[in-house]
Amino acid sequence: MGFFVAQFLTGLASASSLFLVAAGLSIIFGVTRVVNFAHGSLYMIGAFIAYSVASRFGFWIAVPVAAVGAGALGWVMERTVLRHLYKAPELFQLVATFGLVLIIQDAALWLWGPTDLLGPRAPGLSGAIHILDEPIPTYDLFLIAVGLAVLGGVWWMFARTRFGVLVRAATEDREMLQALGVRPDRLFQVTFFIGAALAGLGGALEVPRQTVTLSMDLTIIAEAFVVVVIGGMGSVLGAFLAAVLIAELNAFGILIFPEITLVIAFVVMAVVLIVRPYGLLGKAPQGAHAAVEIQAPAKLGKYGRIGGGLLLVGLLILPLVGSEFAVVLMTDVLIFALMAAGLHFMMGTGGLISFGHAAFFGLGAYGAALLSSKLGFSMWLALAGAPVIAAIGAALIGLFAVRLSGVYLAMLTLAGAQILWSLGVQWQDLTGGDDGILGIWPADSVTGTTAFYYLCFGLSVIAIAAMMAAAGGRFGLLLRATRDNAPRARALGINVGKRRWAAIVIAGMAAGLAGGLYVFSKGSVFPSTLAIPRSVDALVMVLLGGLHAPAGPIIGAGVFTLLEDSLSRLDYWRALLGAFIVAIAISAPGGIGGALSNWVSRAQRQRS
Amino acid sequence: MLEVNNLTAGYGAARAISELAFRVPTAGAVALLGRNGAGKSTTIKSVMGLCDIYDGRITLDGVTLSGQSPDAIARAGVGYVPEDRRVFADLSVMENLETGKKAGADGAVIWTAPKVFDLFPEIARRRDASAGTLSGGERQMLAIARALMGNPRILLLDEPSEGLAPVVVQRLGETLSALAVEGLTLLLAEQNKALARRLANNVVILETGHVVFTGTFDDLDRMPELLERYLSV
Repeated sequence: MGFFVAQFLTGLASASSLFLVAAGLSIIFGVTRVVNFAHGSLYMIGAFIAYSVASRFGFWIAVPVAAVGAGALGWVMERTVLRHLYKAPELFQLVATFGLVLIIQDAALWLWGPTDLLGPRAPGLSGAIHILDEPIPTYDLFLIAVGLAVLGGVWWMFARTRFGVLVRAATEDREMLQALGVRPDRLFQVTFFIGAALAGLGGALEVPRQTVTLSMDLTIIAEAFVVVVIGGMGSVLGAFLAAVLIAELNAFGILIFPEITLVIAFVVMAVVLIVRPYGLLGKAPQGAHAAVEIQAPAKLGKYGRIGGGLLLVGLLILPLVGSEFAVVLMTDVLIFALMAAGLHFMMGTGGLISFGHAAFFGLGAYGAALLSSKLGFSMWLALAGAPVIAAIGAALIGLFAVRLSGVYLAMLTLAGAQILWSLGVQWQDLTGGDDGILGIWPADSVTGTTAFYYLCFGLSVIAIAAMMAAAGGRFGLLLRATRDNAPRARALGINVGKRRWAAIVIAGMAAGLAGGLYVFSKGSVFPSTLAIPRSVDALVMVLLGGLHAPAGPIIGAGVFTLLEDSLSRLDYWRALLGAFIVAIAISAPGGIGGALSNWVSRAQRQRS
Repeated sequence: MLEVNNLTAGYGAARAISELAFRVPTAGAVALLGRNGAGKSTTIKSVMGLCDIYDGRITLDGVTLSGQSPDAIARAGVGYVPEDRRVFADLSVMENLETGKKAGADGAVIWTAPKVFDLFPEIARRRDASAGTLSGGERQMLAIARALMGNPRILLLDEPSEGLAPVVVQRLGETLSALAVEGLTLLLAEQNKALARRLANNVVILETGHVVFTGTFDDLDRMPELLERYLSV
C-alpha cells in the first residue's frame, strides 16, 4: 500500500511542472488562438536562468527571477513575432514559433554552452518524509503543493479579477470583446507574460530534479501539447486533470512495462480525441467562422510548364555536367521533394495540417531497412515495401485524423509521429535504438552515385507527376471542396472522411517511398528520421515553395536543401534557419511559388 | 451626430454595400429597414469596424471612425448590440457587464451595474447565473445592458427583435424608447417595422446594398408602393 501511495505522489510531483507549462500554453491559446511551439523554450530558458542565478544568489531567489525572466522573453516574443501572426492561418503560427524554438536553442547554446548542467538542490527541502513507511522526497511534496497553489491562483485570477474575466471572455469571443472597447494588444501582452512566466517557473522548479539540457524544450513541448489537447485547449482545469492523468499513468505504467512511458501519453491523447474531439473540458470553437479563401485550381500555368520542362532536362543532364557532390546533393533534393510533395498534397489540396509527416517518411525508411536487414529482401522488394508500410501507418493515423481539423489535427499527427519516434528509440531489439540500423546498401545495378541518382529521379518524377495530376483532376477538385467547405461538400454527397483519408494515405505513400530511397542513399537509418525536426523540415519546404503553388514542394525542397547545405557549415546555423522560417511565415505566406505566379500574372496583365 | 458618407464595404472580396450615405442626428434615432441580405447588418458592422471598408467615411461628432479598430471605435462612444446577442455564455451576467464596463468618451460614467439592473430587473435577479442559461429575451437585455455599461453616445442595435416573442419585443421597445427619450442616439437594423417605428422617426431603406429611400416614417406611409417593393415578404 505504502509503495503505491509513494508512486502516486511521485506521479503528482511530475505532473506539477508539466501542468505549469501546459497551463501557460492553454491560457495563451485561449486568448490569442496561437499555438506556441516555443512555449517549451520558455520552460528551458526558465531552467537555465534558475541554474545561473542559483549559483550566485541561491535557489529561492533564482525561482522567481527565472519566472519573470521567462515572462519577459515571452513578452518580447509576442511583440516581435507573434503579433504579426494573429490573423495568419494557424499553420503559419506553428511554423513561425518553431522558428523561434531554433533561435532560442542556439541562443541558449551560445550563453550556456553544450554541456548538461547539474543544478543545486532546493535548500531546506533536501530530505525525505516517511508516509506509510515509504520515503517521499520533501521536494516532491513541495512541487505538489506548488502545482495546487498555481491551480488555485489561476482559478482566483479567472474568477475574481477583471483581467481574468476579460481572458475568459476573449477565449469565448475575442471579436465581441474588442467591440466592447477592450484593447486586444494589451490583453495579449499580459497573457503572454503570465503564460510564459508559468513555463519559466515550471522549468526553474525542475532544476533540483533533473539536469538542465538543450533538449528540454522539445521534450516538454510535445508532452505539454498532449496535456493541453487532452484537457481541452484553453481550459486550465482540463490541463491540470490531463497532467495528473498522464503523470500517474506514467508512474504506474513504468512498473508494468517500462518501455511504455514515452508512448502512453500519446495513446491516451489519441483515445481522448476520438471520444471527445475537443478534449476533456474543451469546447468546439464557436463564434467567428473561418473565412473561406477560394484558391485558384492547382495547375501549372504556361510558364510553370516551361520551367518544369527546363528543370527536367537540367536534372537529366546533371550527372554529365555536374560534380559528384552536386549529384549527391541533388539526390537529396529529389528525395525531399517527393517527401514534401506528399505533405503538400494533403495540406495544400486537402487542407489537412500535419505536424508528423516524419512518421510516414520514417516508416518508409525503417520499413525498407528492416525488410532488407531482417528479412533479407532485395533492395527492389524493400523499396516496394516502403510505401506500402507507410501507407498502412497513414491509413491507421488517418482513421483518427479525418475527424479533426486545424490545431487538433496538427497535434494528433505530431503525437502519431512521436509514438513512432519513441518506438524507434526504445525498441532496441528491432530498431537498434539510437545506434540505428546500418549497412543498408542499394542493389548492384544502382550502386553508383549516378545510377542511384537516376533511380531517385525516375521514381520521384513519376510519383510527383501522379500527385500533381490527381491534385489537378477530379480527385483534387473534390478534395478541395472538402477543404473549403466541409458541410457543403457533405450536403453535395461527397464522403468527406473518405476523401481526407485517401489524401492522407497518398501523402503517406509518397513520404514512405521517399524514406525508402533515403535509407538506401545513406546506407543507414536513425530515429532522427522520425523526430519533430524532420516533420518541420517537410513543413518548411512546403511553405517555402508555396502551399498553393503546384510546383511548391519541388521549389521548396530544392531551396531548403541547398540552403541547409550552405548554412550548416556555419556556427549557430539553426538560429539563422529559424530566423529565415520566421521571416517567411510573416512576410511571404505564399512562398516562392506564390510570389513567382503573382509576378507572372502581373507581367501578363501589364502586357495586355 | 453619426455621419455615413459614400460608404462601400464588405467582407474580403465580397462587396455587400455600395456608396451608402445617411445621418443619425444627436439624440435622434434612425432605423435601417430592408430584406434579408440588403446590407443592414453590414452597415452596422462597418460603423463598428467589424468588416472591410473599401471607400467612404464614417464620423461621430466629427471624429473619424472608419479605419479605426473596433476597440477604438467603442472607446469613441459607440455601443454595439450585435445580431445573435453574442453574450459570453460561460461568464455570469455580472461578469458580462464587467466586460463592457468603461467610462464614456468624455470620461463620464452614467451607467453602472445597479443602474442597468434598474432598467432590466429580469436580469438583475439572475446576476450570478451564467449567461448561457438565460432565455433569448434575457440575453438581449444583457447585451443591451452590457453595451450601456460602456457609457456610449450612440447605440447600434442589430436586429434586436429577432427570434423574440411579441411580448418580449414589446418590453424591449418600452425600454429602448425610454432610452431614446432620455437622449441616447440610436441606429438600429430591424425587420420588425412596428418596433422600428416605435423607436425611430427616420428610416433608411436598403436594397441589395444601396439606399433606396431616406425619410420619415410619415413619408413612407404616403408611398405604399415602396413598402410593397422593398419590405413585403
